[in-house]
Amino acid sequence: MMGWMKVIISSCILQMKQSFSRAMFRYCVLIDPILFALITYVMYKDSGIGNFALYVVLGTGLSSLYNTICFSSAGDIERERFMGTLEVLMALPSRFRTILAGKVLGNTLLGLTSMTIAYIFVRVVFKAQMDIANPVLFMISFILSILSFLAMSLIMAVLFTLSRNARGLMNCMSYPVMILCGLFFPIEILPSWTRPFSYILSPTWAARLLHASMSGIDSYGRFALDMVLLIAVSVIYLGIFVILYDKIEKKIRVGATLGVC
Amino acid sequence: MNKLESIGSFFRQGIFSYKALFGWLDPKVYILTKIVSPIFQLIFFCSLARFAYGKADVTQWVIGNSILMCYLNTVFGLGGIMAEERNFGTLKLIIATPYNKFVSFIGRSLMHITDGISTVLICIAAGIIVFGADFSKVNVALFAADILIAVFAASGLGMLIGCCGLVIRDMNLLMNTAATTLLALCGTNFPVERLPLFLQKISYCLPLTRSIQAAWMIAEGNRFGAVSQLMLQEALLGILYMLAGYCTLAIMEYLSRKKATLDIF
Repeated sequence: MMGWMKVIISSCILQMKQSFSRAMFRYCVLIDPILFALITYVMYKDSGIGNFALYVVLGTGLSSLYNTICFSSAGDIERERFMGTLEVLMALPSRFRTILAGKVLGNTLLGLTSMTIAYIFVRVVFKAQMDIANPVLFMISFILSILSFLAMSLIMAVLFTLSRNARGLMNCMSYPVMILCGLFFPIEILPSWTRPFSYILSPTWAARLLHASMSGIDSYGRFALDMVLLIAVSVIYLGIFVILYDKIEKKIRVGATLGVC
Repeated sequence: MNKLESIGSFFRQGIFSYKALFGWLDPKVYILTKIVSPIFQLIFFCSLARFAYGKADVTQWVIGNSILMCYLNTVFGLGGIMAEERNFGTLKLIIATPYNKFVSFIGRSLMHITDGISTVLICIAAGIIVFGADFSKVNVALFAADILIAVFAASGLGMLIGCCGLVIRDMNLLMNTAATTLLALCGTNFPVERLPLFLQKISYCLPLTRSIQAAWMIAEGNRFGAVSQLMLQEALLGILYMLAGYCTLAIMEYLSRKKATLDIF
């Protein structure tokens, strides 16, 4: 038990040090949320929508968090492959998925900075009023959302292990999630056929919970249902990760394609 | 080498460079980066505009975001040339060759300008299909000229950024900052007048701001007389960026030789 905890913590700390030493990562965490908050705030400013600051802060924060995790998960695998260390990590006595979990955790912790920056920027620069109506439920929703993002990024990381086009894939995974999960606008404005795609993505439920707990909950029954669905989707993600990981590990060992650039 | 061979070489190296450095060797990457990703970006901003402003007609956002998408070629394609050459170990050969570096650079921009225009057209087509964007009042020749000038001006910025690749290691940072700045300040998704005054001044120093304004006016049925000033200013801005790129290339080449940093990752 303690063994894998040690591996996760070491991997997490190393990942945070390595990630933050890259200028591009610092850009994703520090600059990108500010520019995106600026764009969306100015777009919403004269919209007449009452609680639009919530969309700006939650949308920017969640999308930055998602981008940080997603881009890093993809980029880290590609970097390890490029440096020739992916095979070494795979051959270590510690399981690769434990190391991967540590990496994803490190990225997530750093990604939380972007949420904070988006909040401070909108609060300070635009002097937007944002009170959290239900702080306790907001914190619970927030923690569940982060755990869910962790599960989602584990799947991505393991899929990127298989793909040699990780960079191309990661570049086109950002906007679909922002659209389908309703991070900046409600998913109800999208065509109804997109709804199933929205429902299988955990950021949809995370955004709903965070939005409701900040702006005020109309129906606690609905809120509880959203929370249960977020947990259920996250558990399914973890299950998929475990199954995928075993299959992909076998596939890359048999095919000897791990380090092929 | 006679004149004809020189011209042939000019175009040939542009095509080779484009194929080698811009992912065309792998069509999957090309499709994901140049077709799928821009269309999703367009859908995102048009949906956001539809929700925020409650408008059914989002032609304005289709136009703005489609023209902006040329940055994939102009900023990321041209901006990353030097850094990519370094990654492949060919940068020192390019610097050592007696051929004029700037002419070589311009040759490489031709394919990106062509490809950038194709991305803009793909996005416009997607905008018409997904959002029913209305182009019924558009003067096609004028609109095409505006797109060409927009991509040319943005190429100037890309070449200026690309020159920095001789001395800067992390070009991704510079290119992404430039791309997001264009997205934020060029008035793609809202009129530039909504920005604070100091940001408005920056907007008008950037390529695409005037082209996007001109394109909106053309879509409303305006003729050449109404948009000529904007288009000419944009073309002039593009030339200024190219000249700045030329000077920067000379300085950066000198610095990279002097500091021996050409091949340092």
